[in-house]
Amino acid sequence: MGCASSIILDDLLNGNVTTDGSSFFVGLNQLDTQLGNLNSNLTTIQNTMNNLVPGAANITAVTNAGSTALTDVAKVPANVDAGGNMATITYNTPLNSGATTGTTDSIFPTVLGSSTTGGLVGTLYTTINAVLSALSVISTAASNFVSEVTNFSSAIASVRGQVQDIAS
Amino acid sequence: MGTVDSRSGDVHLGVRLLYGITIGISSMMLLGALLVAFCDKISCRYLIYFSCVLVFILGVVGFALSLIFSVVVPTVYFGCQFMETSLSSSTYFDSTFASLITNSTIRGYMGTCLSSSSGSIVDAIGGGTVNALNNLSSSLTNINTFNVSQQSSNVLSDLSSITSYMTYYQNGVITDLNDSSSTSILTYLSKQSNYPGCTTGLFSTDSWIPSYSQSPTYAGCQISGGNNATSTQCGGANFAAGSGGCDGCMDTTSILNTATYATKASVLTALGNRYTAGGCSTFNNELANTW
Repeated sequence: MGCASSIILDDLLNGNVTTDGSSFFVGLNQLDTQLGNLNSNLTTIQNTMNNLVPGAANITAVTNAGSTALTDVAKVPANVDAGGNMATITYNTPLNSGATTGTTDSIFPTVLGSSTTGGLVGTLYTTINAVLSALSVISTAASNFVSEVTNFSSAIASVRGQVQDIAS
Repeated sequence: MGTVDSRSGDVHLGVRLLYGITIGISSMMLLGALLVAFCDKISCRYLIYFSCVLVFILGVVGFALSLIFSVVVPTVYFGCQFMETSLSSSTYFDSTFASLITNSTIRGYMGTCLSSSSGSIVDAIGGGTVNALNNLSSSLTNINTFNVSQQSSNVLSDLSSITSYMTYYQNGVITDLNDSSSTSILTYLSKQSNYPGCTTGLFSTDSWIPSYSQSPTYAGCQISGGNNATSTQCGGANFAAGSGGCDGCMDTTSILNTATYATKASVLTALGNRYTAGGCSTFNNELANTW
C-alpha cells in the first residue's frame, strides 16, 4: 500500500500517462512552471488583446469601413437600404419590330439579386457580413479577456500557490 | 489483483513440479525395494537410502514453502483486495489514505484520478481559472484562424465577380434574354442573307451581333476572318464609310453605345448613311428597333 501511495504521489508531482495512452497528466511541477510562464506573459497578451477590443482604433476603422461597404453594396440594385431589388427591365417584342405586340423580361435583375435574395449582390453582401461577424466574435472575446485579466492573474497566482504547496 | 491472478499459473506449475519430483523419487525408492526383495540385489538398498534422503529434503523444502505461502498469499490477496476497494471510490480512498496523507485538499485532488472520478485533476486544482485559461485558448484559436489574406481575397473575389458580370451583361457578352424567339431575332439580324434587297457592297461584309466577345455564343458572327469592329474603329466618319476597320463583325453594343446614337432616330440616320441602297431600309429599321 505504501508503494502504491508513493507511485500515486509521484504521478501527481511529475506526471504520467494512462496504460492505454489516451490521457496524461503533466504533473504539478510542470504545471507550476507553465502557469508561471503564462503569468509572466500575461501583460504582453493583454496589450495585444487591447488592440482587438471593440473600441480599439484599428477595429473601429475596419468595422466602420465594413458597415459602410455593406450599406453601399445593399444599395446597388435600387439605391435603397438592405433588401432593395432592381426594377424589372422589360423589352418589347418582337425586338426588331416597330409595332411590338408583347414583352419579355430581362433576367439581369434576378442575376444581380439583392442583400436579402442572393444573386451577385447577395453573395458579396454575405461575404462582407461574414468578415464583420468573425471580427465581432474576436473583438468580443478579446474584450472579455481584457475585462477579466486582473482577476485572471490573481487566480493563476493562487493556483500556483496551491500547486507549490502540494509539490512541496 | 490482476497481477496476482496473472502469477497464479506459475505457482500451480511449481506445485505440480514438486509433486512430480516427489513421485519420481518415490518410484525410484519402490524400484530399489522390489529389486532387494525379489531379485536379491542387495546393493540396491543404497538407491533406497538415497531416495529417502531426497524425499526428506523435499519434505523440508515443501514445508518451508508452505509456511511462506501461507503467510504471503493471504497477505497479498487481501492486501490487493483492500487496495482495490480503497481505490474504487473517492469516499473509500479518503478514509483509507486519511492517515497517510493528512492534507484533505491533496486527497481531494488525488481522488479525481480514481477510475470512478472524472480524471480532470487540472480542473480540480484550477477550478474557474482553468475555464478562463480555456477561454483564452479559445480566443487565441479564433484569432489565429482569422485569415486576413483569405477574408480579403473572398471579398475581392466577390467584388470582382459582381463588377465583371455587370460589365458582361452591359456589353452583351452574356445575354440577359431568357426568350428563344428574341434570341432568334438577334441571330436573324446577324445574317446578311436574310436581307437580299440590301445591295450596298459594305453590307455583304458586315454581320451585326450584340458583342463579338460573347461567352457563351448566342448570336455568333457570320463573317469569318473579318475585322472585329467596335466604337474604336467606327468613330466619326468611319461608320458611314466603313473605313478604318469599321466592318466585319460589328459589335453593336460597343458601336452604338455612345452619345452619337442616343436615340432610335440617330441610329436609323447613321445606318442609312452606311447602307444607302433603298433595299437596306428593312435591315436598318429592324436593327434600329432592336437597339
